[in-house]
Amino acid sequence: MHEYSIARELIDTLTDQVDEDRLTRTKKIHLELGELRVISKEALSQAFKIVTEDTILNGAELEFEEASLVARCQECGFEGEVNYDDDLSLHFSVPVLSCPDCGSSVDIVRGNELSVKSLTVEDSDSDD
Amino acid sequence: MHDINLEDGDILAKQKELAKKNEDKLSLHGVRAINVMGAIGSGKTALIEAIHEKVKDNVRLGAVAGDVAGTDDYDRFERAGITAYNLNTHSDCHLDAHLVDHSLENMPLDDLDVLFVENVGNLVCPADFPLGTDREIVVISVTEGEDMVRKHPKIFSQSDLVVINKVDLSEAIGVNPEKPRTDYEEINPNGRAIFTAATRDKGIDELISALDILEN
Ligand SMILES: Nc1nc2c(ncn2[C@@H]2O[C@H](COP(=O)(O)OP(=O)(O)OP(=O)(O)O)[C@@H](O)[C@H]2O)c(=O)[nH]1
Ligand SMILES: [Mg+2]
Ligand SMILES: [Zn+2]
Ligand SMILES: [Zn+2]
Ligand SMILES: [Zn+2]
Repeated sequence: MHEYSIARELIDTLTDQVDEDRLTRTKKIHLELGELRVISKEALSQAFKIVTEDTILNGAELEFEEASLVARCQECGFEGEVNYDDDLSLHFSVPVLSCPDCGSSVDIVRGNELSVKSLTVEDSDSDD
Repeated sequence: MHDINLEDGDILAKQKELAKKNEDKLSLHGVRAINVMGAIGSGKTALIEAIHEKVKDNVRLGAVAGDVAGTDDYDRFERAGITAYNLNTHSDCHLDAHLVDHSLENMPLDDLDVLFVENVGNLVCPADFPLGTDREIVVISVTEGEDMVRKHPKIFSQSDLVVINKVDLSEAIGVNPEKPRTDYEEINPNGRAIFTAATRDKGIDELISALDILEN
């Protein structure tokens, strides 16, 4: 549960790069969230809501684009989805980080994303 | 409505920047830092104590005791004669580069060769936060069962050294330590898994050499 920390980093990222006027008019924040990040969308949205209450970002909502895991085999050239471990004792489905074809180890092509893709901002008179 | 893009959308960009600052500071003072992550109660503190016991005549060790609350680990380090700093995160379940920056400000870096940064016991959250350390290790113990590596692929895929501790208990509790090692080698064939029993001086020499603790 580090969604509060992530929410605070997100706010820093926004306030560093976007002016107050635009942030005040921001309605949606589009995020890309890699599967390997193990971050709960619900918890992050909730944390963001609480942390932005009484700030200029109040009311802005998070929208998620999930980046599902893509791996590339270091041996056989396979690139794509990996297998999942559905063992009941694990309580959730966990990606197996090895090649589904040959069992060799893989590089992560996609799945580590944690970034702001764009903001949807209400128009104003001052916009060009 | 219209959409705008950010120049750098990476949410962790600032953390990465702070981590780089820590890294530069540590290398300026000639301190090699090791981020010790791992499961709660797996033996992170015990391993640092065991290493210190063996190298204290040759290497000046420091330790940052990262904990949600309290001074238990800090007190243990102090008692062992390790230069220590107590770092409470209050509610956070991981350390971050900013907290480590504050720790470095409060440590006599010129009097240290190696600095252990003991992270909060947790196999998920610390994986997202780079600290600026040279090495990252993950400590698990056989008492957590055989599936720890499979359950947490991210942290193990990004660490090149895993310590499987409390192997002295493996028979008694019926957990085969080879299982997490095999899982780990599958995820990370370039990584290395070491079996230890911190409280029985087993595997500690191997760990010291894998971490290059004695090198100057
Ligand atoms: N039998 C056995 N016990 C161990 C071993 N290593 C540590 N312990 C015990 O396990 C308990 C937890 O060890 P710690 O070193 O405090 O573990 P930790 O990972 O630092 O714990 P937190 O900081 O609370 O997450 C203590 O009672 C240790 O004495 C070991 O190799 N074998
Ligand atoms: Mg400890
Ligand atoms: Zn957490
Ligand atoms: Zn393959
Ligand atoms: Zn500060």
